[in-house]
Amino acid sequence: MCDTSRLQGVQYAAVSRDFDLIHTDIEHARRAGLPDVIVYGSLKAAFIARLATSIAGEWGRLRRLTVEYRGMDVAGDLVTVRGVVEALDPANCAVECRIWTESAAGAVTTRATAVLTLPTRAPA
Amino acid sequence: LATLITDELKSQIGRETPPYEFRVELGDVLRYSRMVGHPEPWYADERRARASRYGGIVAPPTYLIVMRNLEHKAFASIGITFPYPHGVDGRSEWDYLEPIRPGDTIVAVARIAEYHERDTRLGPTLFQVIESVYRNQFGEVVVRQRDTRIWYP
Repeated sequence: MCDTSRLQGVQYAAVSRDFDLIHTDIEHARRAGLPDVIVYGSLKAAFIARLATSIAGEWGRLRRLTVEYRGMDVAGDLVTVRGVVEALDPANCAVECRIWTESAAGAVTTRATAVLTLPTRAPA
Repeated sequence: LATLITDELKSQIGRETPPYEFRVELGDVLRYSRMVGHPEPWYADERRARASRYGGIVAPPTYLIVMRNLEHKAFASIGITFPYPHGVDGRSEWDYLEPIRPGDTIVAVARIAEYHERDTRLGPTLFQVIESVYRNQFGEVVVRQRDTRIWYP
């Protein structure tokens, strides 16, 4: 589960260098018909990548990530990242995972596919 | 029938930005990783990263978002600006080929790969596909990216 406060949006603007005001300026968001600033799509992609790299660990590698932005999350809402292993490709030591974010209301707001390669055995 | 894909937009298909570059700085990577909450030491803890397989800090997968504003400027430099006033990200695909490390200079080239259009629940909608290749200072491709951006007139 991921924090999505307005403060976090401002901090993310600084580290991502994406200064679209719809993510940080409430007046700007309201003029666009939104109740509050919205969570950066790229931040949700980063949360998804974080789940993928935690599965890969030190000796695995994230090879490919595809993210589809389906809906908005409003700052302050709880965003939950979930994932399942979708397919195994033992010949290539690869795993395909389906990962998605859920809004506070339970809607899928981002859905992704991650392809990881994993080590064949734990390092000594 | 009106189309969102004007002759001007058609003429952009296949056009490529001049190379644009970004120097990867250690402090920026650490701040980004901590912000996103990556727990792995090779993204956020310099001392422990040294003992990891990477031998030092590497940038987390989505780090190259920092080059997005440079991409917009590179397109603007060849006369390609946002096609319509309202845009959102539709989709991104990334292939990760080589790690990105502090000290690297990443050189990117982006091109307009295609435009297509269809009606969505928000009315006529333009889909813009942008393909980008990111190389490091050794000429190795580190990331390939394919973005679909959605525009409403």
